[in-house]
Amino acid sequence: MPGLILPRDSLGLDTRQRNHIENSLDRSTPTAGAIQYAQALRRQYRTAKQRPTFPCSTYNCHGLTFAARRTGISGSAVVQKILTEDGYERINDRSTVCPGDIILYISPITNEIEHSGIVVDADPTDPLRLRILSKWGSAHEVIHSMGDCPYDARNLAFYRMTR
Amino acid sequence: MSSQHDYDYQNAEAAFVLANTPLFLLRKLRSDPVVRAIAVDLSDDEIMSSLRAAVQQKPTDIREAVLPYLYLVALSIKGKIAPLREAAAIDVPYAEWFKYIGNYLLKSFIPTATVSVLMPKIILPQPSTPSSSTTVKNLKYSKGDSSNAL
Repeated sequence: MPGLILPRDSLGLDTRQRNHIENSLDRSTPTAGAIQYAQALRRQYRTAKQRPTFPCSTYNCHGLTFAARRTGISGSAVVQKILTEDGYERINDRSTVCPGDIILYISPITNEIEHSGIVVDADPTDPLRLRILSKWGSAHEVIHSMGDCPYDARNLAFYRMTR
Repeated sequence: MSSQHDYDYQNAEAAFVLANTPLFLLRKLRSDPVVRAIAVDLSDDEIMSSLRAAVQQKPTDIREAVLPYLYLVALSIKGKIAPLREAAAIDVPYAEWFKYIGNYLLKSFIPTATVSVLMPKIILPQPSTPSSSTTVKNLKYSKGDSSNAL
């Protein structure tokens, strides 16, 4: 028998160490205002590749990066737990960053992980020329240059899962 | 009292759409001049009343969705713990991050006080303007911050 589908839900999602990953799956349809803002972002960030995905709150950037778009993950502490318990390794040499690695945008003010994405293109001769796939809040998915996004890119961290 | 319709909520709405985390939204709202204007223009009771009205129904657009957070942050800017504690305790079924942000604001709360001080007027050579020799200026500072104390 199929389970009850609620507009707002949470999935049974665990780290590799079998600890629950707090998450929130919001199935409600986006409002007209959210769609308008997403369209404004498409116009504002012209050099970014705007993926043909709709604005939604089903998942957010961390949900894209760490939960295969299944759900939203909003807590910085939750992301830290995933990094630790799933065995991500921090990349200290930025010139070695390659597609598939994870980028974190950390607020220099609050030290909160405010945004994350997946590196999809990297130029080993120029570590600044990274292209990132990420989802911008409840807007759509975007492939953008590392600094060409509405999030503070002054404090970045890179992670890799190697096994 | 200013009506909520007198304010431009575009920055707050954009922050709400882009927010992946509650503290991102909080940081953006704290730096939004409109939120600061609401904190200055409206009394604690007026903000509480607007907050209670804003959480009554399920939001139908971005503005309605961000207003509870906006009023909560405005209350925190006003610098009194009692209204903030009261606001954080409100049952808000449609604002998922409200409790988290409310608790964060309570934990990080620094009380503020407003004082009036007489400051000597700086006399410039020109142009000359008819005025008194002193001027009253309202200053706001954190109680625990001695660097701003006069």
